[in-house]
Amino acid sequence: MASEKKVVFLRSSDGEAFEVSEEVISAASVTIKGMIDEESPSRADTAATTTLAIPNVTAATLSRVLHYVNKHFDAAAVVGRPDDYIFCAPGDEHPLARFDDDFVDVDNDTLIDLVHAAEYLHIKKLFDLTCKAVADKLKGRTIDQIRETFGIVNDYTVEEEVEVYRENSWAF
Amino acid sequence: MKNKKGSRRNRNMQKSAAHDNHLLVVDRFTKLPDDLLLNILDRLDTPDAVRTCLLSKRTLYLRHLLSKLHIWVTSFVPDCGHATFKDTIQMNAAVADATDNILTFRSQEIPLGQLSVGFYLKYYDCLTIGKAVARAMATHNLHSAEFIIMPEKKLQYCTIDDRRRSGKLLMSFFYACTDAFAGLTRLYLRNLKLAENDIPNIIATCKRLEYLRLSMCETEDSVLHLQVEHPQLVELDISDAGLELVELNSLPNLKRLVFSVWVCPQEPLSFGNIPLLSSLSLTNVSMRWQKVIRLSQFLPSVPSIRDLHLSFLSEKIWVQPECPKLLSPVLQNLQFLNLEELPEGCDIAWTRFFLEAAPNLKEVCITVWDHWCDMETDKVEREEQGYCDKRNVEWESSAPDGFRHYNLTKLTIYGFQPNENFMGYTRHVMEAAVNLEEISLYDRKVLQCCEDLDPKIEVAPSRYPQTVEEQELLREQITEGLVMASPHIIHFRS
Repeated sequence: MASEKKVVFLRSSDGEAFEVSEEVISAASVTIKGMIDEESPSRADTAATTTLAIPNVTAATLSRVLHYVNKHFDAAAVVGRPDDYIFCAPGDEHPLARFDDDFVDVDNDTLIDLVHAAEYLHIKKLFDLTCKAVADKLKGRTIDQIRETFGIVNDYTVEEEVEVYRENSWAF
Repeated sequence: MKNKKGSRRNRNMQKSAAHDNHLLVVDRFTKLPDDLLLNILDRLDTPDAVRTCLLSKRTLYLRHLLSKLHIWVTSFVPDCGHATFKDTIQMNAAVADATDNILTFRSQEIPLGQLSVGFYLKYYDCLTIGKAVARAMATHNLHSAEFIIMPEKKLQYCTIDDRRRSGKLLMSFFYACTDAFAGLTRLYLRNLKLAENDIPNIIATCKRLEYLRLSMCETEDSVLHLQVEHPQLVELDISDAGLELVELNSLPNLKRLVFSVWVCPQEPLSFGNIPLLSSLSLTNVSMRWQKVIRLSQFLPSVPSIRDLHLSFLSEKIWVQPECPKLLSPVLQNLQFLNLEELPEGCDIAWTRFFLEAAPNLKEVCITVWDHWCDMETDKVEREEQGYCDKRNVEWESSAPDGFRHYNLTKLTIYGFQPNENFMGYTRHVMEAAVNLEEISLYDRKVLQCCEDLDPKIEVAPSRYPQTVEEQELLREQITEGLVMASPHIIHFRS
C-alpha cells in the first residue's frame, strides 16, 4: 500500500546508518538492488525496514555517494521541477553538469574513495564521473607534476630510468 | 628514434631520478587495481596515458595494455598553448615515434580495439605512421582505425600552390601505404587540392571506410562532378569542395550526410540508392543566381530522413515553402528539424510549412542570427558576388482556418525578440501543436569571435526580456485568448 515510500538503511564500514529511498537506491546501484532482491522474500508483508551492511565504504564516502544518488536518481527531484535550473549554466548540456563538476572537485583521497565506492556499489554514472575526474588530473601534465599530485615515488634506479627514457623518448 | 635532448621534461626527470623526495601525500593512485587504472587511462589521449604509465615500476607495463590508442599532434602542443611552425615539426615527429613505438611493442595477444592517429602531411612521418599502422592491422583485429590528416600550414596562410603540393603529398603517401588506407574505418582529410581521380581512388581503396570527412578538399577546376559508391560508408561529410554536383549513386549503409556550401545554380546533390539515410545537414550561403530548392523535388528518393538540419548562414533562404500535398510524401519520417542562422529582421512564419507537411515532427529548433563575423559586409563585394538583400519569404498556410499537429512536443528559438514576428509565431505553434510540452526562448547567440567585431558594424541591441516581470508579461501576451495552451510551458532560458 505504502510501497512508494519504502526506505532502506545502509550501514557503512564504520557503523553509521544512512536512510535512503529503496526505489532511488535500486535505480542507482546494481549491487544494492541485488541485495534488496535477495532479502525480499523474507521481508514480504513485514513492516520491518531493512538494514544493509556496506562493508567497503566509510560513512564519509557513503554520505557523499548518497548525496549524488539522490540528485541523479530521484525521479521526483529531477523531473518534477523542470524550472530548477540552479545548477544549470547557459550552454550546459545537462542540468546537473555543474553539480557534477562541484561534486568531484575534491582532494585526491576523497576522489579515489569515491571511485572505489562507485565500483563496489556498481553505480555506472558515478563510476564514469569519478574515473573521468581522475583522468582530468593527469591530462597534459608532466611526469613530475603527476608524481607530485598523487604522491608517487620514483622507484627506478638511475639505469632503469635511462632505459625507460630511451624506450619512450617521444613521451618526454 | 629521435632524441629531443634538453627538453624541459627531460631535465626535470633527470633531476628527480637522483634522489626520491620525501612526500607527504600517500600514493593511492598506483595502488589501484589494474582494471581500474586501465579504465582511467583509456579516458586519456594515448600520450598522456603512456606518460602516466611511466610514473613507476608498478604501472610501467600497463602502457602495453591500453585498449584504445589516440595519438594526435594536439597532444604534443607546447605548454604555452600554441605551436609555431617549428613546433609542428617536433610535434609531428613525436606522433610518428609514438605510433611506431607503441604499435611495435604491442603484443599480438592483447586485443586492440581502436586506433586513431592525427598528423601533419610530412612525408617521412607519414610513412612511419602508415607502415606501423599497416603492420598493426595485419596482426590485430582492429575494430576501428582512423587517420586525421592535416597540411602543415594553417588554412589562412595556404596558397593554391601549397594546397596542390599537399594534395600531391597525400597521394604519394596514399600510394605508398595503400594497405594502411585499405584498413581504415575513418578518414578525415582537409585543405587539399587534388587531381581528377584522387577522391574516387581513395574511396575505392578504403573499402572498410565507415566515416569520411572531406573539408576544403577541392579537385582541379576541370572536375565538377563526383560520383560516390561505397558499400560500408555510414557517415559522409563534404564541405567546401567546390563541386557542382555530387552524385550519391549507391551508399547502402549511409545514415548521415553533411554537405556544405555549393557553387552551382541548382541542387548540388543527387540521391541514388541510399535506403538508410536518416540524417541530412545542408549549409549554404545562397547567392542571387542560385535557385531556391524545392524539397519535394530534391528529396523524393530519400524519404527515410528523420533529422533535417538546414543552415542559411544569415543570408538568403534557399529553400522553397511548399504545400503539404507535395511535401508530405518526402517528410513522412521527419522528427527533428533544425533551421540555423536565419537572417535577423525577417519574418519566420514561412518555416511553419514544415509543420504542416511533416506530421511526425517532434522537435523544432530555429536560430535567427546575423553572425557578423562570417558575413560579407562590404557593399561592393556583396553586389559583385551576388549576395541578396534581406527579404521576407512569401508563404501562405495551406490550412488558413487552423490545423492540428499531434506530435510536436518541443519548440526552441534562439535569437528571440519580443515582437510580433516571434510572438505571433510562438502563438501559432502553440495553437496548432496540441501536445506541445516545452517552448524554450533564448536570446541572440554570441560567440567568442563576436567580441572582436569591427566597431563600424552596428549590431542592433537585443530587446530580449531580462526581468521576471517582463517575461511573465510576454507569456501572458503570447497565450492571450488561447484556450488550450498553458503559459507555463514557455521558458526564457537566457
